[in-house]
Amino acid sequence: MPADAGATSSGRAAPTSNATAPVALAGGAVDIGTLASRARSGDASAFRELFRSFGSMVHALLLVRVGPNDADDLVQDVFLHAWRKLSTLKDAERFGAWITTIARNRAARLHTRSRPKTTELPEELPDSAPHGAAPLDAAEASRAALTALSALPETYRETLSMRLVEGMTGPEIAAATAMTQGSVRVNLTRGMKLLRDALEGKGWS
Amino acid sequence: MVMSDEYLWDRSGPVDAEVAALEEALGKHRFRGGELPRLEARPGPRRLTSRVLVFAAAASLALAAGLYLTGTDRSPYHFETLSGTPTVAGASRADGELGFGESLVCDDTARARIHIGDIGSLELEAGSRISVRRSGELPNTDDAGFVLDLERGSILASIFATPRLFQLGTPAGLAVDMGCVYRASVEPDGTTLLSVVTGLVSFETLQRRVLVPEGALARSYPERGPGTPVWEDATEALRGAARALDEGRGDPESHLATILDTRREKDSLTLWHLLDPIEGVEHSAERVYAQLVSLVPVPDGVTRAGVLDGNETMRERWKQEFSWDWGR
Repeated sequence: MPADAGATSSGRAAPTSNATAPVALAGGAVDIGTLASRARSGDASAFRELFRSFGSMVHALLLVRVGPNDADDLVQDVFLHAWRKLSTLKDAERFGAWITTIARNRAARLHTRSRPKTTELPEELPDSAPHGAAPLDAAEASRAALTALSALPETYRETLSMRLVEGMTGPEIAAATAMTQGSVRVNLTRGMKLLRDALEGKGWS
Repeated sequence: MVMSDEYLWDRSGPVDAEVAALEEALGKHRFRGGELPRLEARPGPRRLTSRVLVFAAAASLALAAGLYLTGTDRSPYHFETLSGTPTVAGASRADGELGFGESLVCDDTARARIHIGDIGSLELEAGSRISVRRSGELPNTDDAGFVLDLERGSILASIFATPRLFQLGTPAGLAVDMGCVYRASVEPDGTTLLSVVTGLVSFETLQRRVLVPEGALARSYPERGPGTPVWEDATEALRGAARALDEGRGDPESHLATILDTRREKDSLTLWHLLDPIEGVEHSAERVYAQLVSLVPVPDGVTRAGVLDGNETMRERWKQEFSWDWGR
C-alpha cells in the first residue's frame, strides 16, 4: 500500500468537495434546467457553464471506458456533439442524464475497448509492511488502481470514478446524474468493496 | 479495516485510509478542465407562426432521424455488452452496430445496452430478443424515426428526445415514447407490460391508444390491444378489477363497481380510459362519467353529451384539467 495519503491526526474531516462540478453560481444553487434551456436557445455562455458543471462527471465516465489517454479529448468531443444536438433534448432539467447517454455512446463508438492502456497487475506486488519492503511506486499505484477500477461492473466503476477520481461527493453525484442518493450510496459501498477485494488480491494491503 | 461509509459518501466522519489512498492514487487522472473551442452559432429564440412551428418541428423530427437513416451507411443503433454473451444472427458479439433487420438476443445470462442514435438508450435484459425494424419509417406515418421490435423479454428505455421519435413495437401494440424512462416486458403469450419510470408513454394499436404517465403501468394484449392504465400505487382491488375487466374475466359489472369505488382524484387516469362503453355493463360510460365529474370538475366548453359521444376535443380538454394530478 502506498505511503499514507493524508489521514489527519484527528481522523475526522468535514464534508468537502474537490470536484469542479456542479458548483454554485452567484445568486444561489445551480439551475441546470435554466442553463440548458438557454443553451438550447443558442446561448453559448450558458453551454460553457454546463461544460464547467458537468465536465468532471463526463470525464469520470469516459476515463473508465477509454482510458486516460483518450478521455480528455473525448470530453471535448462529447460536449461539442451535445452542442450540435441540443435541439433533441426534450427536458432541460435532465441535461445531466442526457449528456451521460451521449458520453457512453461516443465512448462505445470509439472502438477502443473499455480498459485503460495500463500495465497488467503482477500477481504479487511488494508488500510495504510489516516486512519492510519498499512502498508501491506512486505511478504504479495509480495505474493499478485505475486498472482495477475500470474492471468493475459498469454501474460501480462510473460512480466510483466520479468519487475517487474527480472528487465528487455522493450528493453531488446524485445531483449530476439524476440517480437517487440511495442508489449512489449503494454503488459506492458495493463498488468500494469490490475494488478493495480486487486490489487486495493483487498485493494491496 | 472497517470502512467508513460516511467518508466515502461525503468525506464526513472518520477518514477511511484506504479511500484516502485511492483518492490520492486516482486523483492523478482527474479532469483538468479547460475551455471548449469556439462554438458555432445556434439560432436564438424568435417568434414564429404556428404553421411554421409545426413545419419546423416535423422537419427537425425527420432530420434528426434522417441524418442516420438516409444517405448514410451507419446504423443509428450501437450495442455493448453489460454481462454474458449476446448474439446477433446466432454469432456471439461483444459490441457493434445493429443493422436494419438484425436481431440482438440475450440468453439467460446476458444483458446488453443499445444506444439509439443520440436520443437515448435501452437496456436489454436477460432472456430477451429485440430487432431493428427494416424500415426507418415510423409506423402509420411518413416520418423517419427509430423503431425497435421487442419480441420477448424486457427492456428499460431511457429516451431524451422530442416525442414520438422513438417507438417500441411489441406483439401487443406500439409503445410511443413521449420523452421518458420506461420498462417494457413481453411475456411468452405476447402480453406486454409497460411501466413508466419518468415521463409519458403512449401505447397504441389501430383500435385504441392509452396514455401511461410516470408511476403508472398498463398491459397490452395480442388481439385485444392496450388495457387500462392504473397507478402503481392504486389499491390492489382497483388494479385487479381493471386487469380482470381488460382480460374479460369474471363479472364486468362487479369489476366496474370496484373501480368506481375510488375516491382518489389521480385515479381519474383509469376512469378517463373507461369512458367508452364496456361490453356487458349497462350504462357504464354514464357511470364512469358521473364518478369522474365527482373527482374533477368539467371545464367550460365540455359537455356531458359531448364526452359520452366520444368527442375527442372535449375529452382532451377535460384531460388537461386533471393531467396535473397524474403523478405530479
